[in-house]
Amino acid sequence: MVMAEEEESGVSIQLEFPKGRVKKIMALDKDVKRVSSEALFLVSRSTELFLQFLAEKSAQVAIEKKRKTVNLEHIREAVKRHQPTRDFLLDELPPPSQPTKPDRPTQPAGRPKLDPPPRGTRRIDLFFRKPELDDPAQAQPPENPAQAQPPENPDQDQAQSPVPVDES
Amino acid sequence: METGGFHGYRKLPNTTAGLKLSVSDMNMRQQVASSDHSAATGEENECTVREQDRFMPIANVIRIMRKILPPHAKISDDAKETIQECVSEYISFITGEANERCQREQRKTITAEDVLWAMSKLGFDDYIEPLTMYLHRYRELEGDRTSMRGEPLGKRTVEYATLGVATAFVPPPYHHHNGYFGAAMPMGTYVREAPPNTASSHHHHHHHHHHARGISNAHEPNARSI
Repeated sequence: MVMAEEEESGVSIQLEFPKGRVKKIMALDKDVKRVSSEALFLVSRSTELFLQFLAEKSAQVAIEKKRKTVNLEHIREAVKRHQPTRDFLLDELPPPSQPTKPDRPTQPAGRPKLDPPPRGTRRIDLFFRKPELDDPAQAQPPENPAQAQPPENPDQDQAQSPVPVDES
Repeated sequence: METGGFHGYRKLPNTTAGLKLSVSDMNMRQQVASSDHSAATGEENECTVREQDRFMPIANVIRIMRKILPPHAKISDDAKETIQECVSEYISFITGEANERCQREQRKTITAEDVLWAMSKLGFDDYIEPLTMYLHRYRELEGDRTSMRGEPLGKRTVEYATLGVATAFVPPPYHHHNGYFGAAMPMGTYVREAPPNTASSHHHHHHHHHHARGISNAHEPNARSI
């Protein structure tokens, strides 16, 4: 019977989300006693609409920042721009400091000094950038190290991309 | 006469038990199908709340996002996890609001109207129109399902008839496989299997306790043997 129902619903009202999972999530609230099949259907459908909205807005933010990869900050920005979504979701999102955490494992390998707080990290980045610019002007031998550094630069760019503040 | 009776007695439970197992399977499926029951919900809530069940399947989430995102867009891993959490949070948010109205009106079942009301109150007015359309289609389909339910009933009738036919087949198999070796052999076989018969009868009784029909069938063979 379940199979038949799925086939029928697939014909005209195709659900992307498994109803069983939606139902379990709804049941996490122990005050919830019963849910009619119509209500379950509406919540599943509504969740699809919400996900589509979130994907669309996050993509817009990513495009505005000229990025091809949608990341956590783009989602956060998308959430901020929609009052109803912001009201229930913004506080639930990971704090801004977390995006830096994934970067730390990479940066320490190259430059342990980047471990300090985000702001400190940014200042240190700026500090190191200046010497790098000075090195090529001073002598050719330093240029060799500069060539060796290019492989690290892309990593830095990738690491920095998750932090919109740096970009602005 | 007695020998024939015993043969029938042995074969009957096995065949009937098999059919009844399938019947019980059908019952279980029906119970699963009617999982909307509050007891089922409670059981699910109490039995398992695995970490996996707190989020929508990531594959479904990604597939829906792909339809919206530009062709060459990529999604970082932290974004995928965050989206999963956002979706679950949304479901809990809507559910909580709908349930609040449901309880305020002293009802126990969250209805479609409660969900739509929650949408409006929480600021997702844009969703009400498309959801209302989906609901209408869903109800139309539900009507079709009602007519479809007639067929499952028919199927059950057919299965019941099959069960009856199977029961009818029990008497005919007087020819035990040992019987093929000659008239004298059946007698010897009967004598040798005396102890196993006792053990078998116990097992049969055990099976019969699980099925009421089995018990009634058990009585008949006993009467015949006596």
